[in-house]
Amino acid sequence: MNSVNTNIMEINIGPQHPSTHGVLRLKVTLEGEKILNIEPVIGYLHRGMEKMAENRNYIQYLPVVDRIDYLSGFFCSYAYVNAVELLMNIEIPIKAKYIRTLTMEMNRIMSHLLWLGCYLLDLGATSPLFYAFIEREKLMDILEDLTGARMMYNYYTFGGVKKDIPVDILKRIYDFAKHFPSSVKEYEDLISDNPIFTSRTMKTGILAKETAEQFSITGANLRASGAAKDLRKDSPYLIYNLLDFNIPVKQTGDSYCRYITRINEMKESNKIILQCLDRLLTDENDNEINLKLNPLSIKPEGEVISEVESSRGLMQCIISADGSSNPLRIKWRTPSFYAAQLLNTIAKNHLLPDLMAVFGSLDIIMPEVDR
Amino acid sequence: MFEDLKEKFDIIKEDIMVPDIKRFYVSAKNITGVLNFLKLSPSYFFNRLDCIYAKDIKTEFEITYILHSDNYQNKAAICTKLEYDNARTESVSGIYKNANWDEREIYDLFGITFINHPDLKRILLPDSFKGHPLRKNYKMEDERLRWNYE
Repeated sequence: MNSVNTNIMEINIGPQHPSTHGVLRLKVTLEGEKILNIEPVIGYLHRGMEKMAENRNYIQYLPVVDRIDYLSGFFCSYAYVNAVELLMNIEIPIKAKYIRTLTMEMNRIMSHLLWLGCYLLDLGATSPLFYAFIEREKLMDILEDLTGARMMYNYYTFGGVKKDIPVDILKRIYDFAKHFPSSVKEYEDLISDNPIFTSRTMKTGILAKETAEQFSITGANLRASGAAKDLRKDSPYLIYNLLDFNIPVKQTGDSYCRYITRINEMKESNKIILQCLDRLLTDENDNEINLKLNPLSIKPEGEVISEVESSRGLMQCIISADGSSNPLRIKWRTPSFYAAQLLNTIAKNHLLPDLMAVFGSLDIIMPEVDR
Repeated sequence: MFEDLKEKFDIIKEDIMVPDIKRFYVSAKNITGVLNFLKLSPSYFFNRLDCIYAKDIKTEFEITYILHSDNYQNKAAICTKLEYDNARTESVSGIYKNANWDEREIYDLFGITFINHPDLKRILLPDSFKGHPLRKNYKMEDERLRWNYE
């Protein structure tokens, strides 16, 4: 009776598992409850984004790029639009730069809020999801009134943005940004010291800085491991060199640090939003938001790397253009693709119930992995 | 910068990617040596491989490795050309670990073989998929895609 069954067992998690945030399949090898090996199987959401680009011209591909990461579409839009602008050597109007920065930071908050709610839901806490979605819903309503869509905005265009932000929408963003720090404090009061949360996230899924570098991990996952690397500071694009904000860094690299880093990032994004609003609300005479390029004139030539610090890390759009109206090849370098690869390294030797606590903390989103 | 790289290895061609990233063309047999040198040499310290991507230029394939150095805050691109019919090159997953999935993706979408890769199989497409869709001569002949043509 006292013999323990130590047979090695292989089980399958997903692809339709609610905590895999989409369609990730994991082949897990277990010894009892201990994880010996994880093999992620991806590709269930593959839409052939890179092949699609070859059969469309530049302006036709523009609405598609939001779908690469549907929780933060502005970053993908920016990476693509910026790549074409770099190739054509276009400098966009200063107001368009401010609007792009403002909307991207709003998007970062939205993405982190959804991550926060879903992550706590993975750990079995239902109420933070509703708290997080109250604020997220406000932002989504604002962006819906501005762009016409709640998630796939298609708002940026080559040479600027498609339409100006009306003053009443700016005021609504201002009301949101004034109120948001108190909401963040509410999340922290609710979650940060919760004994169930801390015992499940502290000292689990530890990601050392060296491992993160070897696997090309970027974004909040890397900053939680003690590396203060952020593209917005290291090589500022748009107007980030004019703004005052900090890069939140944590040292330990466990799931809890990743949570704290993202919470702090939301506060910093809020600071950036307020600074952008300052400029947009005070300078009302500047109405140039778009260079109004002829779509048929977009025939760039050359090879370009366009980078953006998205909510999940470093996103690159590499375009190889041959001077015709269609791109020769577009490559998307997405941060989640590399974070998914990391899973076997950091979740090994954990217990199976901890797997989703580690996986959720990496903020992997499947449309970005599969493209 | 890059003087001792040019001394040590045979650089076929050199050009610049927008915005201001140096790209070096090396022969395929040198690729692991070049990347290893750039990663470990104290004057470069390219500690991160941003990504690998392939490109079909009809007569041959081009594989580009984009490297990033946190120490010096700069980037470089290393490019190598492979012949179309027998496209194979050495895997670099021993040097940069994230190359593992990048190379599987290129194998999947372009049909380029990586020698000494630990686990070379399809990644985005199902195992039963026929052909390599990002090749320029790929024809979409699948029954399910018929609506495209009729």
